Amino acid sequence: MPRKNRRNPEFFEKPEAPPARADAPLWALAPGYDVRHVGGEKEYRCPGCDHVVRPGVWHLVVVPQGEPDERRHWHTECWRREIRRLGGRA
Amino acid sequence: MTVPEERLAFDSGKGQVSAAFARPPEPVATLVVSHGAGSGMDHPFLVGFTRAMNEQAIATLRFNFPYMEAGRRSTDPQPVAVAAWRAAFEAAVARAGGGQVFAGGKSYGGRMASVAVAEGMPAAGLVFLGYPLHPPGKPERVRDEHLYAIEVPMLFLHGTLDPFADPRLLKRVIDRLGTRATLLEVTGGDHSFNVRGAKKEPREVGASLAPLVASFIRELV
Repeated sequence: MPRKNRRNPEFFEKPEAPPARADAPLWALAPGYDVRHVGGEKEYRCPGCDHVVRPGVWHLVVVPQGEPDERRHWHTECWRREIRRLGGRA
Repeated sequence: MTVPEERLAFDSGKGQVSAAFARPPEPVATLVVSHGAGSGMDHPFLVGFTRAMNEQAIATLRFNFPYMEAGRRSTDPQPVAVAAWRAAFEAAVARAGGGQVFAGGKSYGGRMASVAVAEGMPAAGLVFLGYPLHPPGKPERVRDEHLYAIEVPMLFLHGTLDPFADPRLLKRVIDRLGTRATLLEVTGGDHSFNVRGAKKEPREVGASLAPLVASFIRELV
């Protein structure tokens, strides 16, 4: 006898996609830079450590103000280190 | 004969930054050059270029942007970079001994020079060593708006295989700039002017561009 209590696929097979971008944590904000928290499908090269930012890993996108072409994807930890180098004088 | 190089520092508006000034005997003009986004003023390409300019009787000043001086990897916000450029230009004027002062740079550095000139920095002319017209693979994001506000002569040195400027788009920009702009192409050159198979050291590659830039400057002074 065929089963009747099939799950409604409409209901169960479409988990809600997480938001692709969000505001960066407060510590990551630096004057003169736009910082966003993102998770993406692409692979990037982190300027802080020269290693890969793996697809799907949440990380930070940093854009110096007035310089849209200098937008870079940073590991969160690498940007934390970069912020320390800014030393509050930016 | 090697022209001695003076190491100096000046206030960029965001702290002291390093610079290197070299003045051959009886220079015809002075050229201030800034580095690309990923490498400082002592990158062999820039050193080779400026030293070869000195041999062409042109004084040079190379300098670091504040982010590079601080050992950071994130380029400065545009107002910071432009302020540093103005300070570098003034440092060069103070040492030029009355001759004309030109501005230029490698990639990002050249673009910052052009923004500074568009905002009123009184350079006699501009020299672009690989102008980053758009990000690689994104020709729709052309950054040329401010160039049309510039009234001084501009030299675009450009590798034909440079992914930062589609040759057809660049020619369109040059045409629109009219007599102000001169385009010199390095056949087969990439964004760093390396030609595949040529196997030249960056210092040599930089030096090889100097005669072209020197004749551009000589025609103007």
